[in-house]
Amino acid sequence: MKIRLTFSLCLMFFTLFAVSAEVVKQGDEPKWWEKRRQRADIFFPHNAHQEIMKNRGDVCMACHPFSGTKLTDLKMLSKLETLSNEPLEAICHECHVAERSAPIACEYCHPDTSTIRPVDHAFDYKTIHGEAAIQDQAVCRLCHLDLSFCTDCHFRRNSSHRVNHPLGYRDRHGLEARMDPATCGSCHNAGYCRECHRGGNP
Amino acid sequence: MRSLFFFILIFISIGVAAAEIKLPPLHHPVGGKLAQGMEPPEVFVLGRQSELICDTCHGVSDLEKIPLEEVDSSVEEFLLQGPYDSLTTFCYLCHEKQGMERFNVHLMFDQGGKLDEQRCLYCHQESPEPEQVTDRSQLKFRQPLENLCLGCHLKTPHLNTLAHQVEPSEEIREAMKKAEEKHQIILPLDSRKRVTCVTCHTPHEQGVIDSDRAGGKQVADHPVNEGIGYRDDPWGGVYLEDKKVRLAELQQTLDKTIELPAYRRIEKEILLRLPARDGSLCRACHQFQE
Repeated sequence: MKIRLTFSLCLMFFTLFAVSAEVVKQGDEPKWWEKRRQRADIFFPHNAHQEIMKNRGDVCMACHPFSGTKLTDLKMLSKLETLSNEPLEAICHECHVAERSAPIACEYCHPDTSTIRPVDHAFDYKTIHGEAAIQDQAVCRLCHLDLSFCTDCHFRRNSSHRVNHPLGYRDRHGLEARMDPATCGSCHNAGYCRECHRGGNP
Repeated sequence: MRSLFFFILIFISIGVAAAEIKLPPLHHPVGGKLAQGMEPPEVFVLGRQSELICDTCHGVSDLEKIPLEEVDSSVEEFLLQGPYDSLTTFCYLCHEKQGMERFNVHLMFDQGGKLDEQRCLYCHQESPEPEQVTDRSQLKFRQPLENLCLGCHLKTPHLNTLAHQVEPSEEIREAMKKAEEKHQIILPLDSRKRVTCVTCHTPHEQGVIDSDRAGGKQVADHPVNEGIGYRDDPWGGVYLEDKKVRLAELQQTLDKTIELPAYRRIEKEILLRLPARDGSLCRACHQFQE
């Protein structure tokens, strides 16, 4: 009888302890703005954006809207507020990608670039990316804004390894260059052609 | 035989009661007849006995057959010929605006430009003389500061209010103190030292408190009775599109339909202690290292 009573008391204490620990845990759950500083997937220097956002007409509320709501369910409202404060890719990318009026290096804002890397960019993607790049270069340029990302490898002259055209292509590139010069132009500028063709050389 | 009949009668009564339409709280009564002289628009159909029915106001077909929790109030025709910018706009299609409209306590001067002291008593226990108030502790309110706005305004009337109604950290209190000194304003906290409506908003119309005094400083772009001015912005569409997937996921998690308010750009501000549009108000509390 005594053992049973002791066991019941222990069980009660254990349950109370577990419940109170859970309550404390929930109460200590960091808010979204507290988690912000721990985020490795995105970095937003507020001070650096103050003036430019002011010139564009909205400083804080473009990303942290204060729009009116009639929602009174606090649990739902809390989740909606978290969602409304999430970084808005389109706003950032207008300057950093589309207009390029702000720094374009991905790692400036995404310190851990693995969080934004496409799933198909696995460890060997470098060796097999050619087909996808030929099919739609625009997709590559969504992230690789600086053309040097391509040319650093493809224009290397200190290596015998040709990364785009097959060996001896220089001797027989004329036909393709006349048929579709735009294809050449996607990597080579006019100066590249002139280096050899200057002075009336065919 | 008689008791069988009695039980059948009870079951039928229960069935009828269960089939009764469940209405949300504060819903306009249905079944009543219109007051004399009330002339609703022609599209607002009445019942067979000229009584108010669901279809008088709602354009959703067979609304009464849809369970209350499944009714989607965001569809355009939820209120006939909707959507409306506010619910009261819809109400005034039948009810006379003048006379029925709740007075705006923030309009504190009468037509002759004299301060209507009765308006002060909406919040204050006695009408204070602004010039004689040297400390906020002299003021006696009818309710704790955090409750004064409720009733006319929701506790969470706009996004990001909930996150703000907390006790500020030491770091933020320090920033607030500096901002009060720098801008010569007040940023009052509620009775439990939490950020509340009047921390950012001033309830007094411009001129009630001398603008040289900290309590009287405010942004007043245009008349109070016109409210805050917004304008649609191309970012509004981008904002909603960007949040669409995440909103759908959230709705699935909560199993509820939630409307994300559209983003609109502030054009004119009123009753704010500092401008929000250029970020000054936010920066009074929020400081960043980078």
